[in-house]
Amino acid sequence: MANVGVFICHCGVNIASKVDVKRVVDTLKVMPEVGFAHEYKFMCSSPGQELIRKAIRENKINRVVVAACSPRMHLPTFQTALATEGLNPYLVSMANIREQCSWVTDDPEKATQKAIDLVARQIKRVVHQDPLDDINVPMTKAALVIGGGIAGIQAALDIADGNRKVILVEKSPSIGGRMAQLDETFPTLDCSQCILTPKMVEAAQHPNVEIRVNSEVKKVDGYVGNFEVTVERKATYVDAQKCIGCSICQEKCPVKIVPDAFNAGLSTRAAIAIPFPQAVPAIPVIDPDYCRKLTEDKCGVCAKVCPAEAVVFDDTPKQDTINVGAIVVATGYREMDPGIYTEYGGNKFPDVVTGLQFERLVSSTGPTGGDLKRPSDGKVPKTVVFVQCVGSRDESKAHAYCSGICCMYTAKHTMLYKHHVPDGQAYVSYIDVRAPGKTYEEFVRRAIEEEDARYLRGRVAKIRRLQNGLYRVYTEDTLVGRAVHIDADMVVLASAVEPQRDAVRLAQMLGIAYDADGFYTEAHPKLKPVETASAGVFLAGACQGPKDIPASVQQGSAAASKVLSLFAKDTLIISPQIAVVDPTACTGCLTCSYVCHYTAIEEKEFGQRRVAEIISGKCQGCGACVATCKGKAITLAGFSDDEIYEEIVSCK
Amino acid sequence: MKELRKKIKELFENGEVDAVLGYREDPATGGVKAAVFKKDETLDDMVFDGRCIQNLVNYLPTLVARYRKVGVVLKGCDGRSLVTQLVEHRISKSQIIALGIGCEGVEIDGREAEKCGDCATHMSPVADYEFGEKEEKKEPTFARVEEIEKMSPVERWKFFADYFAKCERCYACRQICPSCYCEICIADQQEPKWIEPSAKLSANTMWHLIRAYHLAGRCADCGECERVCPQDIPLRLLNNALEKAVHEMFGVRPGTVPEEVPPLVVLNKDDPDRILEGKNE
Repeated sequence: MANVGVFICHCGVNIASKVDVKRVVDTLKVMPEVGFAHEYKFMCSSPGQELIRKAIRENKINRVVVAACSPRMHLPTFQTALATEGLNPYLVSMANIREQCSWVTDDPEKATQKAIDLVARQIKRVVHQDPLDDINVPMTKAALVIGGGIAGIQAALDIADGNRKVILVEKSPSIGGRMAQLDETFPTLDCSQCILTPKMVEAAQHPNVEIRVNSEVKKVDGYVGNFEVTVERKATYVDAQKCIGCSICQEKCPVKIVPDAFNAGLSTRAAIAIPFPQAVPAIPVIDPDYCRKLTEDKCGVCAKVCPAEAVVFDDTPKQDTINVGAIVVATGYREMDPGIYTEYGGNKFPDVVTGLQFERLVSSTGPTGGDLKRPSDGKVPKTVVFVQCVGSRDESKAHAYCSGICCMYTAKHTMLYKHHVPDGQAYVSYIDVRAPGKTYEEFVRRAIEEEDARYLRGRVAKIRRLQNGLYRVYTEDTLVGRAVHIDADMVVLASAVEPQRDAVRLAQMLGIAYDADGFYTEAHPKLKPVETASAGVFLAGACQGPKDIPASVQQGSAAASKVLSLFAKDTLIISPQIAVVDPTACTGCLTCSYVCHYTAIEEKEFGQRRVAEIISGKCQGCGACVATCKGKAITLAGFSDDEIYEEIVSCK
Repeated sequence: MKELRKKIKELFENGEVDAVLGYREDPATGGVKAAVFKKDETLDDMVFDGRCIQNLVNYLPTLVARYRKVGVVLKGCDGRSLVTQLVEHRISKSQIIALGIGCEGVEIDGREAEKCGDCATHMSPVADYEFGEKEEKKEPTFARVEEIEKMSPVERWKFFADYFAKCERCYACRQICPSCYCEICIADQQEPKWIEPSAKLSANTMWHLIRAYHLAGRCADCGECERVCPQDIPLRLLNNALEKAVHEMFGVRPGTVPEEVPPLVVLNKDDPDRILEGKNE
């Protein structure tokens, strides 16, 4: 026999200022189902919960209705209160008399009447609620990290150190990401490669890390604890098992015109090449668009000179499926193509380069071997203008957001420039200098005060190429209120940080949210910074928003700790509020499987017939199959026809 | 007909079918009836003409359970019914041999049946062998539905209420329909009792609306429900109204394309959304 306890919350004045809570209690406590009714200022507080617990103990109530805010806020709170007293947590129901009543109803009389109706309906409903048991599903304690930049490497290493297997999938031929392309790093000016390569090597040598380069995620099935991920390895035409990394192929390859992505397109490389000297793994890849063997069936020199017989021209993409329990997404960012800024001559003037290209021009592994020379004529630039916020903070043309890293790397660039060209002059055109990190402000001051960078506050209007090979930069100095122009040898555009081109496609595969710019959205901007809307999928690095190296590393470690705490459990508890098939009523038409978004419905034998079966681990309880089943053979536990029907017929 | 008989003999001889579902002369009534022909039985009284109005597909699930492989004679409308049965896993294609016959229209009481006017396919969309003419598909007119749509809501309700009031809830419409096959029909469910069992207007209306909605996007318009109704309720009208809505929204006529999943149970990104577009009436 159901004995319902009814608890009406004031929510301070949120509810009580419109709803006469005492009248709600008095009206409802005479209902035959109700054994106890009470109101309290804050039901979610400890004394409020104690009221429920006491009523369970002393008044022997066995069903609970809480009339308060949305169940999204506090249903778990009250479920816990029931469970503490040994009552099944699914025997509580909530009536939302705040968002759906007091907040949206002006007249107190009407609000009170509506509250009574809403609560009465839940009382009728809760009587038909069945106790449900949480479902335990086993978990695969291995993780997938997508993206082999610094955030992904850090996440992979931390998970691996926690004694769990990690598969690190990287789409390019080497791990290392953007950080591998940088020269020196702010705010300490230590060499990027020198601090990164030990981590790359550690990842490669770690017994718990499996690195899969040249690979991309193609499909994601399953759910937290039990993901099934299809990974495709692109055709590289080099057998990684046989290759000894001697790079003879690269030297002998006659096709040396492939734009070098690692050098941001500033130089060319061979059609078969190791992406950069410190690459991990140091295995070359053939570019099928340029290789003469693959395009014209000629040449084949690399295969002839290879001492290990590692070149395989008939290589094909290979797919396989990996099973993991958690996924860390660390796909990073790309630098915006400045071509849309035609007034700056982005992509058009050879000596107007991007921030990343400047990194390569001053790097000892770059196209100039570390001597800063401008791309057009190899002249050492004596005047350089650094233009900030190209594409950032510019809603009319590109992005409203701040790219976060450019203020700092531009300050760094001015220093690197000064170190390469001591008699040169750096100008920086900026809107604001944003340097909130630890020792960041000091770093910028040092660029200005000690390294002689001249900061001009204002936006560059236009860059014109002069007859004498100089570039006239038209800008302003708003601090003195004057238009200025500078004749520079070279201009560096701090081009915006953008999400990867295929960021949205991957998000849709993973079922995670993304913002209007294409950056992945965390589950909560403050309290859940690395979680996503999909349980078991975590974020690290610039794929979530522009980030510098320290922040990317922090987030990589944070994501790893989330993965490890998930893996600390042996099984996963999932909600029992999922669809259940009554096989005696099921006709086996499997229309339900057509509407199931989660591929959670399969066929099974039932006597002589075939019927539908719900895979409990995959079902998310959306109810689409329930609505589709004409024979009413499917029930959503916790939302049975009985419960809904009682709720509907109790409407006056 | 000659060719059909020859092909069926051949199928029997080659052991490709164990039984054939077709039409047989019924001397008692002068009409035809559905019949199962087995090997070594005479095919002389097998017929196919304008009298063959019955939809044979309704018998198939029982027959395929009994015989290894069944041949079935199909008009265009029956073939459309069969598509729904295949998509909904009632029958597996491997269990049947479809013998499509180019249908020139069937008769009720000596006049061409109304359903033939808007026929979507004179030849079965699923046919292992085709006999007779294969006419081209026509665009539907939905003339009868449009007539009803011209009525005011009050008139329309009166029109249907007069019919629904006569319904005696014999469920002949349900029994004859190949697509009405739930293990426990919603009309028979007791807890909760969605539809009152007694034959009164409100409960009858509920029954006919639910029946029609369950067939939305699935009904192939074989017209059997209306034919068997002892009270002559124009049941096809309800089905056609939903068929028209589905056709307008998705450009689909149920059953005309083999293996096509009904549009109302699949989600495509480019599905029209009249509610979001503000075009909902």
